[in-house]
Amino acid sequence: MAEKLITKEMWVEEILEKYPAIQEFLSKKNIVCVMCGEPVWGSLKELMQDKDFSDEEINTIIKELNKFIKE
Amino acid sequence: MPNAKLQVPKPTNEPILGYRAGSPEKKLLKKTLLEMMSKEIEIPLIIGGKEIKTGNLGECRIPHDHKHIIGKYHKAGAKEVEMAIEAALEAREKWTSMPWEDRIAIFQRAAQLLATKYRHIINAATMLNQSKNAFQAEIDSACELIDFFRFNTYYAMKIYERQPNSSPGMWNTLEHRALEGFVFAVTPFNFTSIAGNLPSAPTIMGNVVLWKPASSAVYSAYYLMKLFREAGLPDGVINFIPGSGAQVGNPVLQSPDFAGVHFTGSTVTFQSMWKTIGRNIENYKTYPRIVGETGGKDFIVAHNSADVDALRVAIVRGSFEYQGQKCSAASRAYIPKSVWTKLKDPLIEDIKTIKMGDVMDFRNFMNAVIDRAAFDSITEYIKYAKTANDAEILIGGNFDDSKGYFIEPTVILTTNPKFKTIQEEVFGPVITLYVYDDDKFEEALHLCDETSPYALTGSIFANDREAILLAKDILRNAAGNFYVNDKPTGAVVGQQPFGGARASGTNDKAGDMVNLLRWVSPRTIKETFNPPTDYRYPFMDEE
Repeated sequence: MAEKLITKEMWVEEILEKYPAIQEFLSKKNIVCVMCGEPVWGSLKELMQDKDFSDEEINTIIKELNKFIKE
Repeated sequence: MPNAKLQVPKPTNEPILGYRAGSPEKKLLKKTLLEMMSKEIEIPLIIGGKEIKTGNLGECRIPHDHKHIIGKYHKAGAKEVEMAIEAALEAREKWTSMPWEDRIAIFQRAAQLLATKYRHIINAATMLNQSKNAFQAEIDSACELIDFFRFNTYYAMKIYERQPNSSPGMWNTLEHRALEGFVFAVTPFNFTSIAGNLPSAPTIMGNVVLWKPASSAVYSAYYLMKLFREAGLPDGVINFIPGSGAQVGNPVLQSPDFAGVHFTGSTVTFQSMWKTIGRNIENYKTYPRIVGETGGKDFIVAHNSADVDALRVAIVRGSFEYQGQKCSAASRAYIPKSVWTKLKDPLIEDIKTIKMGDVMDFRNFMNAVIDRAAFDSITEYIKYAKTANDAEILIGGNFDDSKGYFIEPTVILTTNPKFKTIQEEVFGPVITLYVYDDDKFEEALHLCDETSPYALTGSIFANDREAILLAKDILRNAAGNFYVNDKPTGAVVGQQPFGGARASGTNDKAGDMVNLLRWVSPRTIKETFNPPTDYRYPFMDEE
């Protein structure tokens, strides 16, 4: 099983520190993780839930994100 | 002199220093900038007056020279939050019972120290840490914060003076108690003055505070903490706990002693905190006060009677000063066709003259945006506009992060009144313009009112009084700070109390008495001098 670098439970701020490029990726999915010049608080899962993504959609995005950062 | 009835001096706004060529203030500021740039400091947490080092380090980088690190700061986690809560609660008893005049004296002293000994230090720290030019730093970290200290202490006295009537034979009094617990101050990167105000306003009213500064502005916040301590603030009254938002915020909001939050930052974060507070409401000892100033999609609406030159200057200053990173920065404008034909070329010409670069070069009107995340977020919007069919980049649109996070002042012209960048907060040097038919002014006002969920600041430019009246009416709830023939930025403490409603916040006007009232819980005391000794009333004497 491939190692997961990003999990849905990780803090947005922590992920952005490690992988700043994901911002562009998430922005294209209408998930804004920087507002007022600062990363939003909370986990990636909470951020996506606030945007009404289903559990299935969240899992798919996490898979895509991990693929994206490995590439 | 324990029996003196003291009066806090009536404040006036701190004069702005000019930093002209050859001035002593410019020489001192440049010298301090060089000194600060030449070393890297270590920033501990400060809890109960003690310096705490966790070893979990963050970096303080210069945004316009991002490889240059001027400090490393220790990050707090759940354990340090717990320590900070304990320290605050321990300090609370003495602080809340300290005579109010003595509490106020500490902040009067802080104002005076900031106006003198600390002025160049805090300004230089802000210039380097947040990439502000000398003028922007002066009006923020010096003048506005001095004003916050002086006006808030004066308003505190006014609040304490407010007492109820008393009928003969009794004495009614109001005691403005501090909240029962601690206040959590969460401060933004964009204004050092707000970073100083959010923890100090509740403190002036007798509260104890946990202070989490923005991760991108820990450096200047640390110098503020030094200022507070030198001014005589007792240990534990303000506890300095930088760190990741969620890692600090979550344990704070779980504490039963959490009594309030004083926040400036994003709407999403504020709403997330509010939800957490709601979920925990049964666990708190008191209903927490929630005070927040968040995002904005601040506007300029021009009428065809507008002065075109004044409008042009308002767009340039309102949108691009401090790289558009003011909560109040203009980021959308509605311009009538007849005005646009006269405005377009001079506006472009003006913007072409804007210099951008290092804060050490005082000729620069603009500097860098705060960090990598902000740079990526803002440039995403610009890239989007570049490829859109219903918008064009009129000027700017280029960016370069090779040395610093530089983004050109950018004007987007759209034919779509609901275009992405005219609706969403960009928080950078980007303004989107929509040109409307002159006879559709009223429609443009409604469009402005309904396009964004925010309601922080906005301006109307018109010479026709009827047009101003109509704008004031239709845009009544579209801005908490509304300007007539002026840019929507630059609110001054004591003159234009600042804050917005709708998604922009709770509108508890920073630097105003309204805000300070949120940090007290009044107790009414009735004392009867000669209490009745018979339960019977006179009307009971006969049938």
